[in-house]
Amino acid sequence: MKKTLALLLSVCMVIALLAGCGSSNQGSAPAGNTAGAETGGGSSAPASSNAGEVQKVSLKVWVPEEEMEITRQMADSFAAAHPEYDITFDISITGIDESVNLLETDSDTAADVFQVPSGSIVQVTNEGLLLPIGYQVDAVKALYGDGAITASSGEDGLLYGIPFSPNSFFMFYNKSLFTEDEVKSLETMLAKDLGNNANGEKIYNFSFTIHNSWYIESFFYAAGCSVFGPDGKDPTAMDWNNANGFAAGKYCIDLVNNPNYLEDQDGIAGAMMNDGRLGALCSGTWSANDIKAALGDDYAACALPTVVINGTESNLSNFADYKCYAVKASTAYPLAAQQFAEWLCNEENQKIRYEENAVTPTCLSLASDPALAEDPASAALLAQTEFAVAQPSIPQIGQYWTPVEALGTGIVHGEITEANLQQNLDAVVESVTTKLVG
Amino acid sequence: MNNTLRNRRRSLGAIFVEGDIFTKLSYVIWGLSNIVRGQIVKGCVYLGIEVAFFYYLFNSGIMNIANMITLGTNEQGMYYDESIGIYVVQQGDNSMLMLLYGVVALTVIAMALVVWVTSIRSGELARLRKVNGQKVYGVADDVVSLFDQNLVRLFLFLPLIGILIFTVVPLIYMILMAFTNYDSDHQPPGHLFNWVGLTNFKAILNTGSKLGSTFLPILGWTLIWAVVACFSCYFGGIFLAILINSKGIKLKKMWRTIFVLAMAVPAFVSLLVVSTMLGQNGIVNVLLQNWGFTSSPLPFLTNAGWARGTVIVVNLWIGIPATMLMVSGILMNIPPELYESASIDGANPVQQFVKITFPYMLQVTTPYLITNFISNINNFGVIYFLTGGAPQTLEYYKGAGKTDLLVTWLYKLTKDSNDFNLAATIGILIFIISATFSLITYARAGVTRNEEALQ
Repeated sequence: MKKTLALLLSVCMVIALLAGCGSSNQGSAPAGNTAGAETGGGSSAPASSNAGEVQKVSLKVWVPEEEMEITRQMADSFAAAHPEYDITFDISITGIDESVNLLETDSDTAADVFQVPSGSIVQVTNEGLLLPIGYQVDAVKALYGDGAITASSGEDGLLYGIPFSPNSFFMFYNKSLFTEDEVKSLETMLAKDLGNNANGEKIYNFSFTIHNSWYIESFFYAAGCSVFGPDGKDPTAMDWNNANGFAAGKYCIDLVNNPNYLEDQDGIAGAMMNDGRLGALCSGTWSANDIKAALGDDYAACALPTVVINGTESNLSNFADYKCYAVKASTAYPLAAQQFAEWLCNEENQKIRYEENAVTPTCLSLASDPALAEDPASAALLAQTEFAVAQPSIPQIGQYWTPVEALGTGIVHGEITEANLQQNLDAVVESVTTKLVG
Repeated sequence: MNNTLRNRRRSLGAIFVEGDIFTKLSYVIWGLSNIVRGQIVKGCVYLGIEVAFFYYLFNSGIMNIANMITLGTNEQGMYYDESIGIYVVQQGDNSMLMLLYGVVALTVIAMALVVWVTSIRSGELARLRKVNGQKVYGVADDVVSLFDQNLVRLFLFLPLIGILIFTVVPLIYMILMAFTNYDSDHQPPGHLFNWVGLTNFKAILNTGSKLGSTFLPILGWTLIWAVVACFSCYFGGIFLAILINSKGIKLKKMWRTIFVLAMAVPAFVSLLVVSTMLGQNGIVNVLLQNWGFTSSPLPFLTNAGWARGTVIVVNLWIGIPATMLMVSGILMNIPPELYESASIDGANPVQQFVKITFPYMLQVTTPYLITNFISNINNFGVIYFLTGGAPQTLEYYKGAGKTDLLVTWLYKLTKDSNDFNLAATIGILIFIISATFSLITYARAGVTRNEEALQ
């Protein structure tokens, strides 16, 4: 009796263990029968395929959860458009923030087609994990702007990702506190006295994230400095410690000390916006829904304002970032995978994505669509993309983030003052351009 | 059987010389000696293992070892295929896999050597038993003995294999990484990496180099942290235990339970919560400002000095309950007559503590102190979840912050910058430091343990 009980319990334990061993990335699609989605393809064409034999293809795709449904539709339309393939799709959920990690961990089980941020392309290409897009690449490039193509290209100039949505940050503001003209210049915004709100609490004018190295470069590029030279390809060139850089650093220090400025730490900017205590903050489309909910009718967005550094007025110029679809280097079906990636990013599918999920498109033909101008976030994003600068596409960029974050943090917490600014900038330049071992 | 076994601890050379022709041949054909003496099954098993081993060796073993020495020669390449109009990737050598397979091959060779020596000794045993006219054990006897005298071998076999595969092989693999240049610029499959010998160690330990100017301050802070964290929790725990234990405190069990509840909350949850509370806009700063104690937020986690102090103070919350429990038990063991006679002699509580309680406590808890010190050198959780190693500083390189320990910096090197060789180097250095401290303190503790304690 005891033996059978022990045996039964052990079997239950083993079953419980094995149940947990299932892949955690499988799509939790409500349609249970296609859980994780095996969409049978291709045989919509009549069995007598006239263009030679039909190639059996199996493609694994990773998409974020909100795009699962439309990706399935796009997969079906792709299969219909390519009767020469007999395609089986395996579409599962992996967000754009996890795909690079999963790809690096084990590229053999990674998807063939997945999303990457354009800023990661140089690092992942350096690891040899992405396949360059070569199929009808000129036609593909013509669909998007130069900025998008440059951002998605690797160090060797080949296109490694197909940009389907811009991802830079811009500015959201409260229409009742600022007019459309006032938000064009940061000086004007800061000079305006917004007073106190109904509870007698101070209303801040502007919020930025100086302690984040993806944001702070806006001031330095606006002042005329650059990272790794004007084309971003020289790993020994960084001029943030020249006179322009010093002026930009000083501007940041003065900004932090301005009583109308709020540094966005621990999510305080969003909370303040909610309470009506903040005039404008800088973020991207990922915050659009929350801010729209917080501001209601007062919701508005625009490109980043201009700043006056060293007497010159120029737009704040942040790193241009794009969400791209990419193909892994070790894919078994390079041609089909590339064609599918291009399909996912073509004009009609970008339009579908925009209509269903409000994902701003990058296609030049769609950018001038009047429907886009009506959505403040999309319009602001596209407007800011014109002032954005391409992130350097050499591997040395991996050394950029931490020292500049240390610079930003030091400025925010008052440890970096005008007195020691120059030596700190020198230290930043040395850290970013250095090769540490061998 | 044990008697003959003990007599058989002769060297392999002696066995070779004194054995007959079959014993000598069994050095080449494993299990031959067993088969000839009648242990057919056992001998065939050894022979089978030999065949399998040599098959592996010539099929992939030699190639794996050669690859491990060169770590690959073909980088991944790419060519443009005109006919289809796309780029096709040519798979190159994957240095990481070559290193791994090489380590596996070395392990297999080591295990095969062990089996070879075992086969020779068992063949010799069989020969001697036959020569002496004793019964040679058949396969049935061996299996029965596995459940009887040799039960320990049966039970230890699987765990041993498990440790070999999941601990020893990965350990050797990662130790070897420290001697390569497997960093963010040399990531397979796109790039190859190569052996560089002691370059990483020289770069890290060189005080003039940038890595050295990061490593040494972090090492200093790690040691200071380990000492302060260990002793602050220790004395805090003693103080609390004595306080609760003293006469006049009612509801001793309730007090102890309250403090033990602090242990019940998982450490990293409470650390993350406290980290949020102490932020610039966290609740502690908001309350302090509202009550008028300060006019601007206090830099609990953003100023280097403050952050280090905060970490030590918050660690008390994590460490004191454990020490308190242990010390309570020890306190109860001290005979109360000692205290009575001391107070009769006119000793005040402080003197009683210093002369009676503390020496006894110290003698009992010395091993615990040593272990706690060594484990605090590697106390990843408290630092990483409370500050993440922040505040960042321009004085350190490769992402290290002012509250980083060696182990949290190692983690950042692995996760953020893919510098596996540096991480492995630091890991080896941490091991050397911990081992040195352990050996020194255990040796000294062993000496003092010989003295008579409680005088």
